[in-house]
Amino acid sequence: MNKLLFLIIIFSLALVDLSAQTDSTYQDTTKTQSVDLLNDLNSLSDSSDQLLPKHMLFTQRILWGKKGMMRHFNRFELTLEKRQRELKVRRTMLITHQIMGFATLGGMVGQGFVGAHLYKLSNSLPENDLQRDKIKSTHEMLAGAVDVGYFATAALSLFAPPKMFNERKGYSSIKIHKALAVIHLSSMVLTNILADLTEENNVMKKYHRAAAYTAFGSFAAAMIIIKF
Amino acid sequence: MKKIIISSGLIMLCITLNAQTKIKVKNDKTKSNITYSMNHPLHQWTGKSEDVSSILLTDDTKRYFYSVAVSVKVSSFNSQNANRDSHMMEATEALIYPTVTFSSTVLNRKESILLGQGNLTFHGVTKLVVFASELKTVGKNIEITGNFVVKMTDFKIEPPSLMGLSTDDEIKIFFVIVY
Repeated sequence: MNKLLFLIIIFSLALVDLSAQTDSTYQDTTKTQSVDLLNDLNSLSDSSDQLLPKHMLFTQRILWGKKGMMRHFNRFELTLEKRQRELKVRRTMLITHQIMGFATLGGMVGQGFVGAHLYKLSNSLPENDLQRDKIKSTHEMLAGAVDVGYFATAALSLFAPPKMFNERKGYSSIKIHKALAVIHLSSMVLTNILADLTEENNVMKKYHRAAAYTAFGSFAAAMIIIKF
Repeated sequence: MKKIIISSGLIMLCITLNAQTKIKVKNDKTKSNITYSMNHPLHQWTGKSEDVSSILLTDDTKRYFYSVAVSVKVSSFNSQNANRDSHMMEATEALIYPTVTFSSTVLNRKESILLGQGNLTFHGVTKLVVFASELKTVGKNIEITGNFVVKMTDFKIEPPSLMGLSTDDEIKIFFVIVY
C-alpha cells in the first residue's frame, strides 16, 4: 500500500514539475504569446489614415486638393508614400517661410527708422530737399524689398501642401498666428495703397504710417506667439 | 486507501492551482490613454492619444499577468495644435509606419508593482524597453499606470525642429491602461 502511495506521489510531482516551466522556457512562451496578442490587435485595428484634411485653405485646395493641379503630376499622386514625401515638401516650405519671415521683419525694422526720418523731413525747410529725396529713395527701395519678402513669405505658407489634420478644438498658438496673419496681410496691402496716395495727398501720410505700424506689430506678434 | 485518496486529492489540487486558465482581456478604451511629452528650447508640450488598443493575457482572477501587447496609431495623438501633430506625422513617417506597438517579453508582478520589459516598435525599428508600473484595482478593473523614456534617434527619427532649433531627442511616455 505504501509503495503505491509513494508511486502516486512521485508521478504527481513529475506532472507538477512539467506544468511549472523553467524561467527560460517561460520567457520564450511569453514572447510567443505577446506576438500572438499583437497579431490579434493588428487584425482588429484599422490602419488607414485620411491622406488629406477635410478643411484646407482655398489656395491649398487649388494646388493640393484631391483634384488639385499638382495631382496631375506623377510625383504628387495621392498615395501613402507620395503624401509622406509631400509632407517633407511642406516642411521645407514652412522652414523657408520662417527664415524669410525673420528677414522681412528685419527689413520692416529698418523701414520703420527710415520712414520715421522721412516723416520728420517732410515738414522741414526746402534746403533739406536733397536729403529728403535720398531718404525717400531709400524708403521706396526698402519698401520694395519688404514687399517681396513679405508676399513671398505669405505665399510659402498659403501654397504649401496641406497638413494632415483639421484644426483642433480650443486655443492654440497657431490659430492666433493665423488670426494675426489676416491683420498684417490687410495692413500690408493698405500700407502700399496709402503709400501711393501720399504722393497726391499729404494728409494720407499719418494713415500710411499707422497702417505700416499695424502691419509691423501684428507681424512681430505672429512670430512671438509661436513660442507659446 | 484513505491515505491514497487524500494524497491524490492534495496533489490534484496542486496541479489544478498550477495550471490556471489563461484568458485574453481587452483594455477599456474609454479609460485608457497614452501621453507623450517633448521639449523644445522655446516650449514644452504634450500629445495625448485616447485610442489605445491592448490585450492582456491573464488568468480569470486577473492576478497573474502572462503577457501584454499594446498598439496605438501615431495619428491619434492630439497636442491641441494640428500643425504640430502634422509635423510629428512627417517626422515619424507615420503614413508609412502608422502604429507604435509594444509586446512584452517579461512581466513580473510584485503586489502593486508590475515590472516589465518588451519590444517597442516605432518608425519600423524595434528596441527593448524596460518599465516599472503601478497596479490599482478599480472595481472589477485593473488600472496600470507607468512611464518610460525613449530617444528618437534610437528609432532612426530625426528630432523635428521649429525656428531652426531642434527638439530634445528624448520623448517621455506616460500610460494609463485599464483592463
